[in-house]
Amino acid sequence: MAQKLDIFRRHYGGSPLHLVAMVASLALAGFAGLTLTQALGISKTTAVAVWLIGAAVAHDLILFPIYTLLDKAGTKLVARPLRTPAINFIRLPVLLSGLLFLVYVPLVGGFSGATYESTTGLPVSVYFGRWLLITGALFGLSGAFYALKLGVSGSRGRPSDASSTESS
Amino acid sequence: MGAVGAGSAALLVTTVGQTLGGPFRNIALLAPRGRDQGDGPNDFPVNKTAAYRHIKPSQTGASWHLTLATAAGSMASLSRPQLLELGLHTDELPIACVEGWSTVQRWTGVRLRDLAALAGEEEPDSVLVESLQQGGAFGSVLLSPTQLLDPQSLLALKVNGADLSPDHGFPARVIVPAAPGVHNTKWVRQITFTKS
Repeated sequence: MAQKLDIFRRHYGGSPLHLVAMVASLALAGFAGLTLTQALGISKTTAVAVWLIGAAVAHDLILFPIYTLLDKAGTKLVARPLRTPAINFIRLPVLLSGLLFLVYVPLVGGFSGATYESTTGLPVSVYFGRWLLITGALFGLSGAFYALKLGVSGSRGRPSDASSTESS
Repeated sequence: MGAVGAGSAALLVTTVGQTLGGPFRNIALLAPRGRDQGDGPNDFPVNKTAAYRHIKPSQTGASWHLTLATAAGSMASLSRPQLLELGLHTDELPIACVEGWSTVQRWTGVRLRDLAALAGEEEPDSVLVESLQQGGAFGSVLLSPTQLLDPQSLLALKVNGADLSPDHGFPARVIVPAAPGVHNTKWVRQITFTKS
């Protein structure tokens, strides 16, 4: 059984669970796409497709290089001095905070402020503060998890670390 | 894959309150329709304010009358106190906006079909609802006979036991089941029942 799993891994590059999750995600996306097509008709579906492909191209040409560079710089800064790698505990809150910013940028950045305020009668200024609070909470939560992991690996890792320094 | 899942979860959490309403609306911290509209019975999202649609207090005061018209040319005019004396009905119905938010409230008002009977056209082919509002694509809306005849379809005068607020369509608004939010016309001025 374990051998079969190894063969699967070698050919697919991940665990079978990954494949199942991928198929489920693609099926769900396909269903959403189909529903959208039926609701919108062909011409509007084309517009949606143009936006989707345009967004993918914009992501690959603009966003991807930016966050790859940032990630490289961050990895250099963070990884060296610490025994338990901290980089993922920074990557995830940055990703979530950035995603929320991107989706809600008209409100968080105040770009649609005039329209929003005149149609709803509410001030738009609260959103930037809320986004900062959410960002702070995400980093706080991530930091707490990192501290927890440090504590666990610290209590577990000390004797083995000692032996590894002895052997070197 | 975990990161994508976390991203989807973050968007779900910050958006779903717009539709669930109630205490969940407060979780939609970044969503445009996740806000308190003040306290009290009129605390639910406003799509467009009265000021935005240029509704003047002088238009909605004691001088406001609802005009009921038929294609045959008959006209009736009712003040708000007169409407309140008609048989009132209360029902829980949603405003479900095509923007992607919704809210269920308890509305009290006169059944649209009772107004049709009052106008003398009990089985019209279409119903034209016209608003006082200026601008926007939905200043007048055509309702179907099935929408008119549904006992849940109201010309609402109150919400959650209190008068409608100006932003929610005072003196009177339409609320019909299973229609997009924009078809629930606010600040109603005239209803015309036509038969071809």
